[in-house]
Amino acid sequence: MAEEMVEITKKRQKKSSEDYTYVGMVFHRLTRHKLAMAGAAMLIVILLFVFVGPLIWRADPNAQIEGIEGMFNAPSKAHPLGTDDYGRDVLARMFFGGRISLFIGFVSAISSTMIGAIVGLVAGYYGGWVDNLLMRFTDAMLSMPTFPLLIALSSVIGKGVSQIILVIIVFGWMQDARLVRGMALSLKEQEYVEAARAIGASANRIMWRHLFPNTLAVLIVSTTIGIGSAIIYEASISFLGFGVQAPFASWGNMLQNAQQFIWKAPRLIIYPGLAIFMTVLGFNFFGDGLRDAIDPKLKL
Amino acid sequence: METRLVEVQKLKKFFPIKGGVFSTTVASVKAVDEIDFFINQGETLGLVGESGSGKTTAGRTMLKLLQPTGGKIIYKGKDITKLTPNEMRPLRRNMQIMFQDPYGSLNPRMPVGDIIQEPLDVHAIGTRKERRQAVKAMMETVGLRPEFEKRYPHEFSGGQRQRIGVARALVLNPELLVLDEPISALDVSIQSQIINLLQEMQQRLNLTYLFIAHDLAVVRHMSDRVAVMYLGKIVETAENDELFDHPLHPYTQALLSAVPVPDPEVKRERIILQGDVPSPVNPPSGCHFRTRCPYAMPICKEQEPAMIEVSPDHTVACHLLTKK
Ligand SMILES: Nc1ncnc2c1ncn2[C@@H]1O[C@H](COP(=O)(O)OP(=O)(O)O)[C@@H](O)[C@H]1O
Ligand code: SF4
Ligand SMILES: [Mg+2]
Repeated sequence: MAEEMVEITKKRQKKSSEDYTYVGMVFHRLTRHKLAMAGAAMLIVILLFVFVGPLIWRADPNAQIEGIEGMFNAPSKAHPLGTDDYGRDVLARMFFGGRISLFIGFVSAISSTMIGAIVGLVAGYYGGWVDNLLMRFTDAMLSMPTFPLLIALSSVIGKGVSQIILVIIVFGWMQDARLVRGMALSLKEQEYVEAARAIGASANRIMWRHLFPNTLAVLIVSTTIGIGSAIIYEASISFLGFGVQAPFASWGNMLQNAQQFIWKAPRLIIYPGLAIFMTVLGFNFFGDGLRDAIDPKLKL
Repeated sequence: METRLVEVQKLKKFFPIKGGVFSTTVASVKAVDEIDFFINQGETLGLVGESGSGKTTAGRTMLKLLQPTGGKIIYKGKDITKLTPNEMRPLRRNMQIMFQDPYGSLNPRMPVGDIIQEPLDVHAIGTRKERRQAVKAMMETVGLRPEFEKRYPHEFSGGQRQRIGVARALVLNPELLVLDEPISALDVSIQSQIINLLQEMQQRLNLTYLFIAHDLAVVRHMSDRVAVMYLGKIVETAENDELFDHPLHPYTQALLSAVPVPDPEVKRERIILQGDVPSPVNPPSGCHFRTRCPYAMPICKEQEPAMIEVSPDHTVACHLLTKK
């Protein structure tokens, strides 16, 4: 009887470890990772806030209440988070600012990871002088003083959402390039790559069908954490005054704008600050959990 | 009349060892050092030798997966040594390789149907539907259930994975197949299944095999002719039975003496090899085997023994034979 039970549990375990696809396996491990789940919960709250919130609270984020009595209103029924220095509804601005910040985060993190992946794959797969050239360029980019250059760049390309995204991409792909290059160097020695060469597969095919899918898990982790960094970056750029321009809101420029009124209305700093903090922490927790979940050497 | 499908002449493959501040070549691994062999259409040439003797390198260089350092590769009478990867592509349809490692040789992120189909995609053979059909037929042929085409390699056992490897290698209907220790990573119980599959395929498709192994019993079972390799050199080549019954090179004799003899009447002297295999970076002068050879003579240190044909199709490189 007891033996039978052991057999049954064995069978079950076997099923759970072997019948899962890779994605299923990672998901399963992820659900057992407490920090990742905490991160996921934070992100769900943020996403609901930003995307479902405006459906419930329909206020115009750019509409101003004229006159002195419209400014710096404390939270009330009419304005749940109060109004800002222009007499605009802060809750509505938090919704739309969050969308912009998240949009910038997603687009720039995904694009810079893709660029990093391309540079890293080409450098790692071809090796030799191609590798040398690309990696020296990557090193050069890494050793550039970002903020002074940013200011210079902004004066050339102007200010706005797409400009910010461009800047974050230009200064954000290098770590991923190094990461992917390192992986490509070891992956290309695998026998399945040799097998692909034996059937006459082109370099392009090998890079995209054989190397890239094997770096994907790591790149997803990197992108996840990258979204958090990009949101911080957006806030920093806004702080320098090169961010998303008025009247449009982003969490970054709300924070920047609020610093002048830090004594008068500290809540104007707290709202976007807290939102950025939670989002970045959420992405970092989730990304770290994902990293652990795809690492087969780690027991979860 | 036997026709030569492939032949290598004085084939050499050295791997540079970089060192120093400017990463210049300080030495080289002489993995394959001027070897000659040929394989006739439809036959199996067994290539044996201890691990590290250069068998894998020889097989891969013959297929031009590695660019030879010297020598010639002649495929169907045509010198392919200098062909560029682009010029090689159409030829790759005819020459394939199957690997030792059932895990490393299949992309873990590709469903097996796609793995087997990739050669057809690369060479743009047939329509998409025809390719899929061919994949399913091939899976059936090698003993895999076609409905498993969407599964990933990790869902298969070692033996099944080697079947996937066979399917990928054969889907283009090649002429020449390099089998690089295709069973040495498998359970003994599975080994014979894969051997049977390979033999069946050879008969059905009139394949030519270069069968690399270190298990002599399997080589004897599979091969028409056998070449013995030691430290980058081929030391003896002969027809299968001839080699196993009358080994002439001391290294071959030592290898064979380690194999249990099926007939207890035949008493074979057991020759224990002394010492380790020397490094292929600095192989011994003269005969590469002299540091471990029980018959080593002064001349073995000074002069490299030439390959001589002792009887038709039996060649040996050893000074013991030239002395007589
Ligand atoms: N890519 C490589 N770079 C440097 N040395 C190599 C490389 N491939 C093989 N070698 C060396 O060449 C020798 C022969 O290796 P290999 O052909 O794999 O032998 P075998 O298949 O008989 O075990 C070994 O000493 C090995 O370390
Ligand atoms: S040449 Fe000399 S060292 Fe080499 S195998 Fe023959 S006898 Fe031994
Ligand atoms: Mg080998």
